[in-house]
Amino acid sequence: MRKALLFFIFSFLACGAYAQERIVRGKVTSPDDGGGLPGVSVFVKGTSKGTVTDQDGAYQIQVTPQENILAFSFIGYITQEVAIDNREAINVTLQTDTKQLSEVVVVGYGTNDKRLMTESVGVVKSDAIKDLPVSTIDGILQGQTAGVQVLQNSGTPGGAMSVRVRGTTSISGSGQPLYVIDGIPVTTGDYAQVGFEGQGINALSDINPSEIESFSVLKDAAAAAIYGARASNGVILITTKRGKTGASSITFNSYYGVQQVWNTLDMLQTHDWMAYRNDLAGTEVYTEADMSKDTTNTDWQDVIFRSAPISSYDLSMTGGDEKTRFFISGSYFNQDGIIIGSAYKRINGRVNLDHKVNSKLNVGASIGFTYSKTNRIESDASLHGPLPNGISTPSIYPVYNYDDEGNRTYNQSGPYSNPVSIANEATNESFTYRLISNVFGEYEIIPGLTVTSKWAIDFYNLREHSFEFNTVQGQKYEGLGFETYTNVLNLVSNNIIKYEKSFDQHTADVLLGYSFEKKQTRDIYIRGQKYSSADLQYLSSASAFIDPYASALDQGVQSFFGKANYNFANKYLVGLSTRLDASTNFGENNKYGFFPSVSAGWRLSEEQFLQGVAEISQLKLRASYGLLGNDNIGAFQYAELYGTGTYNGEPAIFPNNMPNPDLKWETTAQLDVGIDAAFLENRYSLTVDVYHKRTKDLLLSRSLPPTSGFTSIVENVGEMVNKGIEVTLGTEQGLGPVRWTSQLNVSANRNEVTQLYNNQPIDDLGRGGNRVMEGQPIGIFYSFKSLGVDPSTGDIVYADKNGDDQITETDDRMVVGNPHPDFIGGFTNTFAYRGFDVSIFFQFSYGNDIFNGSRLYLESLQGGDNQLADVKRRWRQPGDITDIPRAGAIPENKLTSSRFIEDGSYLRLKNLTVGYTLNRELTQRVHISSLRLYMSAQNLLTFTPYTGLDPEVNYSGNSTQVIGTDFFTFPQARTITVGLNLKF
Amino acid sequence: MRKLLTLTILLSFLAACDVLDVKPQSSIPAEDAFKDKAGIEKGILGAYTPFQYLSYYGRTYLIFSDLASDNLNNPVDGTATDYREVDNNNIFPGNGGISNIWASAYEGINIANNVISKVPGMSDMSDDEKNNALAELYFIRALNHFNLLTYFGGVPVKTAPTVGIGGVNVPRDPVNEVYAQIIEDLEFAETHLDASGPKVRASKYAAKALLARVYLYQKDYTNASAKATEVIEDGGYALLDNYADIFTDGSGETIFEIDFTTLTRNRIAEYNFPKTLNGRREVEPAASVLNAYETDDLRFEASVALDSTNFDPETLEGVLPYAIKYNDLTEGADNVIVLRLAEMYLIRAEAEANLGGDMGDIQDDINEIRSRADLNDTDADTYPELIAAVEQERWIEFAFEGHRWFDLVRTERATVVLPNVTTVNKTLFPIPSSEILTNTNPDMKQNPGY
Repeated sequence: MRKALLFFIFSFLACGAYAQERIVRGKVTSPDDGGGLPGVSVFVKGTSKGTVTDQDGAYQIQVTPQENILAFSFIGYITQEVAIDNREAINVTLQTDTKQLSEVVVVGYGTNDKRLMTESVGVVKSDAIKDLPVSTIDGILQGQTAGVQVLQNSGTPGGAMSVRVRGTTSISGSGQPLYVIDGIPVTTGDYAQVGFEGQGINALSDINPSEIESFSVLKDAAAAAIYGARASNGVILITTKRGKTGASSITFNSYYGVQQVWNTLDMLQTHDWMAYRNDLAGTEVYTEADMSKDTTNTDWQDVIFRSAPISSYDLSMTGGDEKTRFFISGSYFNQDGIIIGSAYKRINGRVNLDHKVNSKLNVGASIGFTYSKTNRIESDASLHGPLPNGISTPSIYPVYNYDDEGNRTYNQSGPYSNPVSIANEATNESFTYRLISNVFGEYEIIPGLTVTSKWAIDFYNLREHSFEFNTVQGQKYEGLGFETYTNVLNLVSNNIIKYEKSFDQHTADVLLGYSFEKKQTRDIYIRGQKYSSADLQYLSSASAFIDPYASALDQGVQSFFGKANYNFANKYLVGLSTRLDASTNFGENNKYGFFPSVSAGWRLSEEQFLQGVAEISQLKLRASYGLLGNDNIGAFQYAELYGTGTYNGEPAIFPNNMPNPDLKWETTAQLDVGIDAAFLENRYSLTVDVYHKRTKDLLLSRSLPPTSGFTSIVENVGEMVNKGIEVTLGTEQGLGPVRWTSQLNVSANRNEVTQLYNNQPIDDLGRGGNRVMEGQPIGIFYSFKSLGVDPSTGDIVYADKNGDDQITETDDRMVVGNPHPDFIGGFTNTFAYRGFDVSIFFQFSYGNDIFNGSRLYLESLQGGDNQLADVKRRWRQPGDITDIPRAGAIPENKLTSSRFIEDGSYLRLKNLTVGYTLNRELTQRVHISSLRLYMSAQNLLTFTPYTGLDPEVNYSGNSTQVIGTDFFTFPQARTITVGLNLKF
Repeated sequence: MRKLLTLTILLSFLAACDVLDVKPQSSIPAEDAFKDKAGIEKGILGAYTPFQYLSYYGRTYLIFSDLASDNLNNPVDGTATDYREVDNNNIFPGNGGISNIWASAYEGINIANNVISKVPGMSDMSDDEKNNALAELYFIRALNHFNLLTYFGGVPVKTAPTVGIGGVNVPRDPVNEVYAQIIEDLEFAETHLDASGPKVRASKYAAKALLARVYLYQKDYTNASAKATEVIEDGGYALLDNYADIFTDGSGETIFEIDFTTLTRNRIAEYNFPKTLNGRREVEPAASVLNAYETDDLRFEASVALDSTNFDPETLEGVLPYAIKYNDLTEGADNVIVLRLAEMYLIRAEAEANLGGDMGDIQDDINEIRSRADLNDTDADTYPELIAAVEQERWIEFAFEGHRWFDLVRTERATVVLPNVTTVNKTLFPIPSSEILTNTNPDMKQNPGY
């Protein structure tokens, strides 16, 4: 390492030594504040002699008498040529080049000038997201940048979302990108132990969006390969706000709003339900007299849905001087869910400090902490949630029974336990305590050469507490409670040495790094039953403990990485990056993964032949290729291990996996070709990327014949391809006095599973019959094809694929739907006129299918569930032509089939915000530097053919295979908020 | 400053040294698992654990036999499709219930085979100890093979552990070869197992009792009768006076039970109990079995309870019967009986009736069971009548204990007694699609009719 360093240093130093006559000194300053501009290239015109300004903007250069002109050039500024004319000191103030306004983009282990980048990176700035009443950072990303699909798994407050960058690249590993906050990979995912399928607790939701300065979504291999074995799902770099030099300012942001369900299902009323039950039984269970009596007709959706408040308060202070800068913030967020019993609260604090010890050493710290509390309710895949139970309970059942004295008790005579009793009587709380903190030091050994060491801790504690006594389930166990603790401690160390150098028209930087991570997961789970009292919620009053356990898991990652960028004349750009990762998840035979990338860019707009074309402000072609990995597999799956259990009160052991010592990361080879262009003085911008990602060695829990004693083995067997195109169009201009900015992003991704073990499909996943099979996108819907209702029998007729007059699972299922959209996107328009601002944000998805699993029960025409009003047009007698079968306990009529697959396309007015900033002169009289008031509506309009509660639905949470399925999933709310932004 | 820098870099490398050196905290590396006799003992217990699965004796395996026959129905408001299919005797190969039964039994076989392969290498075990350990494992393997055979027909016989993924694609073996392996295993077990021990582990007489059942199913009546007699005469078990007492853990009548505790719950009661009592009621007693009880049969009260929470005195409706032999709803900690003495009497009676044995002895065996239920002696006095009497007695005696389907199938009476069993094809469950779709062996064939 030291040798390599010396080599680099020498190779750069070697270029400067030359004959000399005299020295010219000076300072280059910025036009904004008159401060020194470091890094400005200074060269003698007509020669290859040059230098770069130092930290303070100072330079010195040797010239001969013949050499009379100095050129000063710097990205973002107009190149200036100055005659020396025997002067010894030449001070220059560069002028900003409005045509080339530089934008600094956060990339892996550093920053880059957007115009000089060869990578594909999607950037979201804090401005774009500041008014969104969205509590989590993954939710914030929805629709903001091309190539990023954010699926809200459900509307559960604080709940998890699925984020896919350029499609799904994994079958059994996670599909989530790597999140890196202030340079530190953070713990994400669902660590909840009390399972509520699809509504996992989201470790990411601990981060407050208002603390964030910017997001960078690293999409292609050139950008992401520096994160090696964890980068194949893309990397999301999050940068928190830091202090700025200048007078201290205080900002207070707040909003308050109301959320409501925007859509309800049309269910059977009592009379029609009774008629259905009569048809089902084939006898008169309810006589005509019963049916026409003034009976109970409960609107259960009205009972379980509510108007729920949402509010956020956010106070921050920033400031600093030459030596020290700080950012301090605290916030409180409080959201009730639109379904009774659900709520989310969060308190965040942050201190970010930067201190300059001397001219060579900078130190700093970023400390973020969170407390949150979630009141969860069971829902998806459960017969014990307010939502499924509420919708499925027929209207004939009252919510309460009243006795003669008017005392009310929950009515429990319906087919499922009373949803109100669950919401009111069951406690399901989870608490997180989170600390994400780092300290760093940066030392400049010689100009251009710096070492940085950053040490970080991400401590995540999740406590779940649940208890129920007075519910049906609670009564079954005489009190049922769970107590769990999960601790995840991740220690990260990043150590980097970096060298930057410019000479003549060459600019280069080199970075070498070493990092390691040590992760410890500890959890405890205890289920208690038989509680002594309905009022004592904790385990000390339980008398039976069911299957208690505590477990531990240690994991580690060790990495070496490096990257180098070179550009010539800001015109020809080349980048290299690589990472070598060792992970404890990998098998003995494959401990180290190597992930290189190469990229190149050509800025045509800098070429002579385009200089004359005034319409083109910028034009860059870029291409990259590289390898990315995914190590997100269970720990120790490579080893032959014996699980432990108990039998007859004694310890028992048994083989619990099929070992695979060759297990390794999944590798994605990604090719990206892109154009960045801007036209007409940068008023219009266009970015187009085309990519091709081939993922091989997919980790697959491949099914084994169960006769082996194992049901599966994890192997690197599959291959998958994602290819797609992303287009982002932007404009920023004045329409008279109105300032208009607009951004449209559209992305289309095509996924195809190209290889599985022995062409064996992974079959019948989830409730909707998702399948993974060769030649099809992952998670395709594969089930029976419903041809409609036979007018003669009233039964569903299924396509008989092999024509043997029998409908069998083996022979007659087929591809009946695709949960992947043809394209997705977002369209944002903002208008500013004097103090007014308006922002309109549409989000859309086109061409995806949803398996409406709720209808499997709500249109079953069998059993005691309430039914959708659609069943009124059910088949009743031979000759009836309808799409709804007869009432009858016929299992074949409720097979998983195309009957329940619907078009899930939607166009949603995701956010509409109208704001007004008060006249500055007015507010300054009361010492307020700015005050803005706004009103915002989330999910105001939704256009969709989907008949379920909400088209943004995914009941199985973050699964990559079970997708596009709705099963009594918590719908999104329509939220109207009013807010203010106040700055002192 | 440089020193500080060097120190930091040094430190970070030092701290990193152990980053990659981690050990699993909740599983045992294979090389540490079987080092001595104590390891083998834990392995043997491990081979019992699949029996506890919910898909096995913990619920599904047991319930399906009564559900496929005329003992249990899936109520109109039941929600489990798997159960509905079994109730209607219209089972799809993708049925999750049967798939899990299949996988659990083979998991048990593989665990047993795994330990079997380790036993010979143990240096601290004597030959007797080794044989004793092997005998217990053979018993477990035999019971699993037998349970597969009775639902699915000829299944693959597995006598070696699965090592690596080579050789996992196995063919089905003919029924007689499966029987041959079961009998070979059980004969070794009866020779080398101890007569005494906890009821939840295999014993000499558990092996003999299972052999008696296997011979009976095979229609090898001579051996069935002989083995049943050995158990009755030498086993040291006794019929309990009070029928309900049989279903307390480790009763004097049971020969072999599966252990359930709060750590490893069964969910039989949960699936049987009505919702008013906080069960799920995915199954309810069929009218046919309720009507099959003779008046004053003491066994009724110990087998079926009536919930009258929603009883309507006007219509006399709303009483819900439910099976209560396994009734630990809250904890599911009641042991499940695999073999008990009453079965031995009825095996001997049935075997002897088929062999044309002593009619008085046959009647005595049947009456042993009937008299405990406070019923009159049987009046059957021809061999066909005796065979029918045994069938009736088995129906009631073992109602909700997972016998009925197998009894009707092995006597070829299923197509006669059960209206949904329209062809003999339906007397075998389909091979689960989880096997059919993954096993590439051309001789892994589906049963006819599926």
